Amino acid sequence: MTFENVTLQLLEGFGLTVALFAATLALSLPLGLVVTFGSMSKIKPIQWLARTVVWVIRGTPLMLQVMVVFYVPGLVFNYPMQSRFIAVLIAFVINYSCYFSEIYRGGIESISHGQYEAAQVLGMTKGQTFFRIILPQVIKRILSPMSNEVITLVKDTSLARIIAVPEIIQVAYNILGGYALVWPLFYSGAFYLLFVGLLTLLFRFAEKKLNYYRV
Amino acid sequence: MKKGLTVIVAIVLCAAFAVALTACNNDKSDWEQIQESGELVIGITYFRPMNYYEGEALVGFETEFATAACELLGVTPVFQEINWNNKIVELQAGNIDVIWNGMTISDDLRTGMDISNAYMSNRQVAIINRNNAAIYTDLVSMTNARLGAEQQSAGEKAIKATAELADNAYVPLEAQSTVLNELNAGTIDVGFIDIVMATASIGEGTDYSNLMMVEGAIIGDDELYGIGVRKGSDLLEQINSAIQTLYDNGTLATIAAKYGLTDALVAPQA
Repeated sequence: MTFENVTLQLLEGFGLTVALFAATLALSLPLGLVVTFGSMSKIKPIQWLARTVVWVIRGTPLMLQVMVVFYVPGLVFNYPMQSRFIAVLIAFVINYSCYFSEIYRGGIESISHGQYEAAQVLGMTKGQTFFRIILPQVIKRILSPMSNEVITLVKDTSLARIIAVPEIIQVAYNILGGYALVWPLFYSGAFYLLFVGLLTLLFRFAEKKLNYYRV
Repeated sequence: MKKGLTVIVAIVLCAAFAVALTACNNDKSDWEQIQESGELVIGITYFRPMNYYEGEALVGFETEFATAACELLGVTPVFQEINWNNKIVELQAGNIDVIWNGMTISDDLRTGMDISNAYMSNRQVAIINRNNAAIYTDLVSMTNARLGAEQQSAGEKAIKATAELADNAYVPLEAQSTVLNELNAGTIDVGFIDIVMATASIGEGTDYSNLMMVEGAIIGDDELYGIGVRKGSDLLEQINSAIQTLYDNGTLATIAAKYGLTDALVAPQA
């Protein structure tokens, strides 16, 4: 195994890592908002349900959730999951939606009540108020806690290995087992580091862009 | 908006349950389902000489054995890498149909799966770093060594059953390949792995050329390798007859010779 060979194999694994990361983000960002609406709902049963879900999902290890999503359909319903990747994706989306929902909730609750009243005076509907007045401010405020979560997600993808999804760490382990090479495992860290570096720059750029209202 | 959303969620959930329940009403046998799909999903992990990559191609004794058996059974083999610790749940959940990976037959495993007739024998051998060749020469010299073996493996059981080693510091590791890596890193002194695997993966000309077997430290009873299927599955008789046919017509001997496993091959036995 030459350096190029290892790099190519790790890149293939990292492709899966990035795919899992991107798909999770794309689905859990909106779904998290739905969970927020649930946990802030005035209808008690919905609020109770949403908060229980958040408690269960945040209260159990993601690794366990991945195994539940992948194995329970086959064990209980005799309907085995066809795709390992989809199973991991479902578990990740549910998990991250719950974490995002709490960040959203904190952001929404930090907006003063006076703004809702002002919007009402201007004749805006509830939906208009939320999407045009409240949400843009929420996004600005939650950017730094969100960047934390997003960066954690990059590294959490390595949990997919528990059901043998060949993401980069799994690939590195297979090289270790097959060719007695330890360095690819440590080298795989560089891929994460680069990717997170890019994300960090992206978040810094976004923060700058959103830095309006300055006096 | 919220109400609409609740209704949509409720409909989706109902639909999901309906699909799940329909799937339950399946009274076809295991073998009939496999024939219908035309594919046998084979759970493996990558290790020499059983299932491993040679460039782009998956090769190995078990890979070729399983491929030949599938040809006899008229199904296409689909090799699926699994996490070895989850092998029983993978089987029971139906994510794989068989475990075909140099699996040592044990009574403990039989509580979770049915196992085919045995086709290969194995024992556990001590592996050390060449630098320690003078220190560890037999079992008695290993009394104070830090030991490692794959968790729940035949190697672990053999260590516990060997008087000279039973009280040693012992680390249960994730896989047999991890045992070799810990030896490389010097975090354990002596590792026990399958002699079948050791012959193929350590010593001169291999990637683990700095490790060596200790000929005087082979432990455990004669173990036998078998193929795991779901409990009560009618796939078992199909597999058993395929093993017998491949043994009788010499195919198994040819494959075994290719991977240096001629001595390990045994006549199929229950």
